[in-house]
Amino acid sequence: MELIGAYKPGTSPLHRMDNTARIVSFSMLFAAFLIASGSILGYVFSVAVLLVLYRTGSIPIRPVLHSMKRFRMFFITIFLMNAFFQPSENPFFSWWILTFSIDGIMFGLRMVLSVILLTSLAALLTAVATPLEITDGLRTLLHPLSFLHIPVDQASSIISIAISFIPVLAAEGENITLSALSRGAFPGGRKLKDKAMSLIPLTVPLFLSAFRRADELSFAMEARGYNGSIKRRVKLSFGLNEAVSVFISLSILIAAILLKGVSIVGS
Amino acid sequence: MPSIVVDNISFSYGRGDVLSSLSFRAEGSCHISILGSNGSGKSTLVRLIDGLLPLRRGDILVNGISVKDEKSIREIRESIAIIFQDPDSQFVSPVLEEDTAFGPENYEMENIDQIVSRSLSAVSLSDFRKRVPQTLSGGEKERAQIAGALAVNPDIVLLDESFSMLDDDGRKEMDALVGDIWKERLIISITHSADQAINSDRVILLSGGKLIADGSPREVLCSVSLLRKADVRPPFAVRVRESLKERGISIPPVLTTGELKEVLWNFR
Repeated sequence: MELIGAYKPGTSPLHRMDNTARIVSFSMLFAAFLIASGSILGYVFSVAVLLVLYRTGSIPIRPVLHSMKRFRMFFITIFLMNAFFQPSENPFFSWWILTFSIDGIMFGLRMVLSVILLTSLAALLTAVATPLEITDGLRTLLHPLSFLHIPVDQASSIISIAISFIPVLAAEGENITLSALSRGAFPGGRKLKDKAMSLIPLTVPLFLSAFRRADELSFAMEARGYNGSIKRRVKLSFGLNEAVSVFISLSILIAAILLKGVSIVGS
Repeated sequence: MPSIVVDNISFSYGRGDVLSSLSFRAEGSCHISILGSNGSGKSTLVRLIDGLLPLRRGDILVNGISVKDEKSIREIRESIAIIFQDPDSQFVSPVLEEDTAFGPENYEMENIDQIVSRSLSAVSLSDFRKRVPQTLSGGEKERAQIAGALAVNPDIVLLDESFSMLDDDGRKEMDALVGDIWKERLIISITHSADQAINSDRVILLSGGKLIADGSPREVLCSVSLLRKADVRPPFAVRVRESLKERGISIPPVLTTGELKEVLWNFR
């Protein structure tokens, strides 16, 4: 099954974009989706934009939507929370703080649709950019805050190092598990307690490995003269691809604002 | 002229000495291999030379500056580049060009963009500058490490079991690249493989934290008794010669496989 949030390597314009320009574009798209939500026209607009974006990124949308089935309980909860707490003048029934009405049902459906659209957009972002690229984009974007003595560089270094270690440690965890299995260890029984107990022999070597790697990294950083107070360079490679992407995202945002205006005037 | 003077140093992590009364001098543009088995203190020595571990007994002078002088430690580190064993544990930035710029930024060097471009070009990674380092292949990761070291333009290069995660061909390629890039520098390779020490100018053999031999590769690596004492496997050609000797076939001393081929060819 397709995993939401998994990176899919590729050479599409969305893959090749500068990390910061990508974050800026997607931020505008998120804003556009939020603004456009609420009216049928707005949802049609957002779905159309989403389909074009998935096509541009060469990412198939069907598996992403299919994998959202796993979140059905989450969506049902959102629907119920909104459907039963929406005040209405013509409720089907009303009891204590709960009100059930056609307005509530429509509001609940709109919220679920908005969450699905925003999740799909977020899934697209993580499909065309690695976590490290996203962190890098955020770091460049937040760089001006370092002039206010906010430790953006250190924080982003910590985050990017932590993220980059996840696949390394995951691979080591897998090796440790296989090694334990090959030496006769058996996965725990069906009870949660048994499963938790069976993880203990795997956790200790994994922690030791993580500490060893952290030790090696600290030596490597010190050997390269690491100095936390240094202000790192911020490099933005803003070419035609990035300019076009940001322009299109901005246009979509403006179109969403206009659509919202039209729907407000219409109602 | 780059120089390292190790003067009667001893070091302990708490239980027994890892290095004991060790002294040697290395200077000029040459390639020195420090050879020893696991636990012989090789990697500890690298960390002490760069001031990464506190030295209490004896002294190490790098380009005439003591590693005990905390005020000068930055100067020492600026003149030394270390490439450790596992590249995955050394990448600090999410993009290759930033990782290459990490050292120059720390030392507040100028024209960092040019330095990065030159360094990546020297290791044929110019097309990979926007890539996430962790997504590179094994050989590319090693070249990325070389680029990071090259960027600080060091006088001294310490290779701590570097490239040992590559296959034979990959390692030879990296050795050739290092030899080509830093031919005017002092290179010190740490290794447990005698075969990898053959091409160096000088071999220092460690055993139990003590120096037991210091000489040319031919002097040190052809001495099977010395290598056995250090628990190091002799080079391939030396092992073949020993096997033949055990079977009563005597051939002249050889060090490289090329020499062995030559001797066996003429043996008829």
